[in-house]
Amino acid sequence: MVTTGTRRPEPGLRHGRVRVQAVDVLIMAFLSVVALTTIYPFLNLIAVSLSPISELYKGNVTLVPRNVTLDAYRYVIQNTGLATAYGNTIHITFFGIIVSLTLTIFGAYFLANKDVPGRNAVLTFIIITKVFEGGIIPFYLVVKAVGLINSRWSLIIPVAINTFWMLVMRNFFMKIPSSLSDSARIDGCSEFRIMAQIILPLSGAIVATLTLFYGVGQWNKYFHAIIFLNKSQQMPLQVLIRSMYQDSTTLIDSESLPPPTQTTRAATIMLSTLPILLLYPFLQRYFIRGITVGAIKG
Amino acid sequence: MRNCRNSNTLTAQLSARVTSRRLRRYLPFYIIVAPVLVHYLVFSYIPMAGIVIAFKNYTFLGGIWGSKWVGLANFERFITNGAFWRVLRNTLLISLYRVLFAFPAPIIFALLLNEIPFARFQKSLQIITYLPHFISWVVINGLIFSLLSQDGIVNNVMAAMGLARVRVLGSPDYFRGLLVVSAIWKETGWRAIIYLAALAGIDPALYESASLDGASRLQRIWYITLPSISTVISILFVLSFANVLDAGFQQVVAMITPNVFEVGETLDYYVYRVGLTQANNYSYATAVGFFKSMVALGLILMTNWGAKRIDEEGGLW
Repeated sequence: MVTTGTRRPEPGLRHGRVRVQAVDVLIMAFLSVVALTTIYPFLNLIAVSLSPISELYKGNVTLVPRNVTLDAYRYVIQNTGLATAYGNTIHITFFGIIVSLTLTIFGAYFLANKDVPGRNAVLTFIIITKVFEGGIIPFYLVVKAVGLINSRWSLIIPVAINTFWMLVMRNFFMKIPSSLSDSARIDGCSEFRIMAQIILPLSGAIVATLTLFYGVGQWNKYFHAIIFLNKSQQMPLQVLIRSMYQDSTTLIDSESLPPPTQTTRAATIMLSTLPILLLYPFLQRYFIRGITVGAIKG
Repeated sequence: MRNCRNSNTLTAQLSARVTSRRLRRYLPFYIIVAPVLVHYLVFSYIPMAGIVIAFKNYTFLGGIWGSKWVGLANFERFITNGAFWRVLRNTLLISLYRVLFAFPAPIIFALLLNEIPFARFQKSLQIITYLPHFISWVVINGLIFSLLSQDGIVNNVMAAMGLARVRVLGSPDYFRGLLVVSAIWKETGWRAIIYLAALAGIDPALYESASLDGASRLQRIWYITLPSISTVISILFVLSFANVLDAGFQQVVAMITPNVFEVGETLDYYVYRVGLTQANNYSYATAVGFFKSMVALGLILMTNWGAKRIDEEGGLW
């Protein structure tokens, strides 16, 4: 490909300079509007969380906060179960990543070794679960039967493996030259050590990508929390946020405190989404790599 | 004869030794994969077997295996129930809207992005539009609330301008539209990645010869770009049918309120509400879920058949 500076040779107009036509300007204008609609709700929420409620009712807060105040944040931190929920979310995210990654690596490592007898049988065994599933109720009954109800492990163990990502990781492992692990085997290295000390160090990219995917999945987990957990002190952030938008159940102690307002809701959302929003610019290339690796081989 | 027998035992011994050596060699692999197999067995296969309770009357004492068989009684109860048509209609309509509008959106978005001559501009647009994919539906429900609720930004601005406040949230008129529009808003950028990867793989020589022949931009898109990604489109189309009847369950759970059950309650949500928030409905809810799986299976078989008729390489199998 011939590239000139930051300009990508546009299909059909690749001889020398790039000719920008009126249509290009229109397309770019349209896509810029799309991008603005994508970030506007976030900017609006930041503005709302930083403004007093009186300014909101005047219709003054659209993009820029008015009379900036941290009252909503102070209120949310002191009066809601935010700290507990935050702790729960960090807990399930941290242990979720460890359990999910371990099982995914184990499965992917097994499936990546072509000459192990029974590999195809295991592959079929796993892929069948992508086609047929028991549904919510039998799944719930099994989680209940193994005693995970009302334990934070119920958010981690039952859905620890994402089959698609495990196959993506397997494809990654298969691209590593087998001569490396073969020579280690001849030297008497155990299979576990080959996996941990030869294959994994070469798989930093895919491990990073899956860490992010599993981590975001846990951070955003909502449905399993409401079906598997009953006690409010175990609930993760997403349940707390949702409860602020429901009339009936709320984790805010409603006896002495007023119901949630637009500003306290916005502050809660900001605080609980901040880690993703802050990390996103730095980590987005790992996210993208994940899906393209999967798209090519998946 | 004797010789022969000897050699036979020898082979047997040899092969036994080979087998044990093979076993010893591969044993570590089986140990490594064991926890994974146990996981699939417990959390995927046992629930699959648990579908039998759809044909039983599940009781706590009887459990999955000990409860009494009732044949198709649970299915009958669902089909004769007033909720049947409501949840079926909602599921099919929401799924249909998602296929009609949310499926083509990333294709159009990718085609437009692909027309932009500036790589850096293109990249920035992509990074911005991926972002909502990583935000939970619960939070997005909050974003929508902040914009559209009675005291949300839109209504506040309208009120400040002297206009009447509009009730969008919790109104049956807008709920399905809200589901589809927010699904498009959240996932379009992310889903475009696959199409952009496919577009990047098109041989530039095709475009060069086309422009030498004087093809217009639309002609290039129609005769080169679209045919080059048609297989990807048809595969993803069939794949999207694999869980089309979920009708965005995670999203529905995060956004639904009782006022909009009439238009927004899908099969999955009904299974959850009846089975897990009301007592003694495990068997009934499982039957509803099984009914949904059967309809979904029929749909994907039909779609695959259709995709193959349109494009030989299309479809999944």
